[in-house]
Amino acid sequence: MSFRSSIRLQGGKYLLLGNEAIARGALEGGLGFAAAYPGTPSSEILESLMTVRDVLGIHAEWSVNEKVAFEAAYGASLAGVNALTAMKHVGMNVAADPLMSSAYTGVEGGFVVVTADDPSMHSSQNEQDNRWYGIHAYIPVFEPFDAGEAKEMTKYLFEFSRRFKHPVILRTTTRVSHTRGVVELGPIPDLKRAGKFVKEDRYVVMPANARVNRVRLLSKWGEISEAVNDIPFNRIEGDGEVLVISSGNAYGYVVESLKRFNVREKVRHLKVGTPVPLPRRLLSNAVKDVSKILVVEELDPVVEVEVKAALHDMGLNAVVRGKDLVGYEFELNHVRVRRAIAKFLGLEYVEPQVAAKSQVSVPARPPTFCPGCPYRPLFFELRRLVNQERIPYVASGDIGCYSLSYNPPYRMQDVMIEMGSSIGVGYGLSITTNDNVIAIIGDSTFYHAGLPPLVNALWHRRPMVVLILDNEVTAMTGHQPAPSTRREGETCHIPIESIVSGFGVKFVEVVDPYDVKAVHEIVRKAISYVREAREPAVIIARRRCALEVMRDLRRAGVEVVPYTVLEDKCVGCGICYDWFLCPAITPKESKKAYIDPELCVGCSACVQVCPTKAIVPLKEYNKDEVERFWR
Amino acid sequence: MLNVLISGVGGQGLLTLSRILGQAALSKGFKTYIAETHGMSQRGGSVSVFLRIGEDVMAPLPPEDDVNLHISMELIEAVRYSITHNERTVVVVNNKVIRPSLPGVRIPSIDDMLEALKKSTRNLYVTDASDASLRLGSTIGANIVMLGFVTYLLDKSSILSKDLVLGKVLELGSRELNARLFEAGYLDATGKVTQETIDYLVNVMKNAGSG
Repeated sequence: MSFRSSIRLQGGKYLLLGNEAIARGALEGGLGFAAAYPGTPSSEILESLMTVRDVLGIHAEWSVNEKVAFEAAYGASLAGVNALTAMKHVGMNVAADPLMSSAYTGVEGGFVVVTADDPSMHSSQNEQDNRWYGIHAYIPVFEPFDAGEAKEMTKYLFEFSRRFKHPVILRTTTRVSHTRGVVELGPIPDLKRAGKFVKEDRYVVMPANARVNRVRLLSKWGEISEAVNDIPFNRIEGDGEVLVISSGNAYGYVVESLKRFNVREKVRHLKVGTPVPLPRRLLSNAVKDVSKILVVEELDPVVEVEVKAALHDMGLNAVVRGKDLVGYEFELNHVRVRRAIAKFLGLEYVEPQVAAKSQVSVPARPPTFCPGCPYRPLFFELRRLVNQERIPYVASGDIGCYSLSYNPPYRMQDVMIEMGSSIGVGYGLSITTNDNVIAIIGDSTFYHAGLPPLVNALWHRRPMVVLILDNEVTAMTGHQPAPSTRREGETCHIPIESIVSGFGVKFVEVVDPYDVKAVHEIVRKAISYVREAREPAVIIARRRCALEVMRDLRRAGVEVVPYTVLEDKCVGCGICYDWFLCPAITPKESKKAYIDPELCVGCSACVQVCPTKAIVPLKEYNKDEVERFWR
Repeated sequence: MLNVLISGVGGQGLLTLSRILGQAALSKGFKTYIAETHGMSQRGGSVSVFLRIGEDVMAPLPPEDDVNLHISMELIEAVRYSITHNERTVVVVNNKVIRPSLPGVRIPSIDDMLEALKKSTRNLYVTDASDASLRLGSTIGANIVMLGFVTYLLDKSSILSKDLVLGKVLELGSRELNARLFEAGYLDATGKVTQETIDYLVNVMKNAGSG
């Protein structure tokens, strides 16, 4: 069942992804406005809302970055409309500037800021714990443990936020956002996207007003800290002389572990749904007559530090264990929680009995470019060019599918930090080294954070080649539209060449990444240009994302003809499976190439890299008809 | 409580497979969690999905020593995740190797990988789901064949009935093709699955912990 068809339903239980549950909760809570920039593991929240915006009459959009999305939702909330923005944890760094001020000004409509953290870094560069942002900004942080609670919590948060005229943070982690759980659907009220902005001094953060805001913020923080004691997501379960405190996702692991040890009835368990601010009155009830306390939480000791401070203020001396038993890094699992509880309670603990590590060692399987990906021939050719011509270079990389060119054999990401850093960090390297800096950035990332550093490089006239990979979509996170997407409707297509030409970049070339000869020539030309002209050159490599093309071909009912290898022509050189490295092409015993028809998408990109012209379509087909979809 | 691991390579239809089982479990009134893999690792990388069914289930991931059923769409991944097997974990593996995209990568022989799997559990089943799917005219139907095989296990152990799961499969569309893919897997299981395997699954579902 799609999210769109589920909005007609109420009552009854459904299996929703944590992120879908948040979207559902927002609708049940009276959402009118939502904006986000995609980022794993947050993307499905807005994705779900996008599918229902027309039927429900709400505003939902993909914005160019997290700061802009935050500001958009913030503005909507100032007009009294219930608003939501969602981002991955590192996206909150981008939105941190307005986030801090939103607590000072307060809001009118309910304003829910979702941060989806990524313990274990399944798809991220760090595992920062964004609950700290709540402490830093004086914004309460709510943390659900599963999809069912995420729905109830999100719904509740709009009311909570309206009551205090204050933003709230809903913090999930990967296993909450990306785990399906049972969700009971409630009614969706009439949703309003129209509001009214009432002018007030608090919205103008001039120093004189900011000082008033600061004082009001602190007094509001006191009220919020009191209110969180009486919300359903914070509660005490069971009773005993020892206390276990769990926050968010840890709750489920703690309950299962206590059951496993058969001690659920002997242990008091404080379930925390608001790590920031910690419900201190509830905590003081929970610690009554308790000799020791264990705090189980994922990542940083946010709750643990606060519990220790609270006990100090209460004049209590109970032993508090936490990170010393559970550990900091990576996501929670049963072993970590069980081991910690066993040690804490002095129970016998047996390590899990599982199969010995297999005698057969299997190779790693890093993610890779999809069959048909336009980036594969591009990086194949870049690698060939810098090798053949012995060009000293630094490939300054960025966040997106092309980050995968870090892997061999391409190895074209020498430094890769955050969104937009290819140009910004590459710029610093272009000043301090004699290498040819090639900044590699995707279309969506370029609009997100690539414009200011390119303006800076142009302004200061630094010689660097900026290679913008334009597959006309935000591919890595699941094909959300970007300003590069050509789509009929409300949005406007903004070609990258018109932006960079408008800035005043003189060398602007568009190339088809499937045409490896053209790629070779244009990159070489750009490198000589920047050396002579001492200013940036921009190359735009444009071809649509293969997954998008395959979807469109399927919808249009156009047959995809896989390619095959002519046995007698193949000499087993290995270029196609070891250097071009398409997942559909594998070596046979004889070293000759074989194309797997289950994986081949008929893109034909491998045809030109085969030195003996051994790769041909399985049968005749209309190439022009298929090629139309790729452009 | 039943803990299922579904492993394979991004793009092999693992999410579809797990969602069908999850929806069938929910229809039968079971509390259900499916911990999915999204994002970067989906691009042809190693993927694992965990499905948990039962009233006591509270956490997204299963206990490390309590994976009861491992459905693997690919042999290398089956061996990689064999560290989760206890000696009776029921393992159903698609007899298919997808070469990791690494230059000059060395892959163990199929015989060696099957031998390693055999050592990790007493309940190993190997199916030719990819071949069966290609024979039936689909390059993307191996997951439905696998689902047919697994449904036999769940049906005979009275966890989920065949009609219930098949009903969810048909909701995907392409009804005729999907029904044939599903039946091919189910039929394959009919000749292979032992009573010991069924008894283990019955027992697992009855107990809160592992069997």
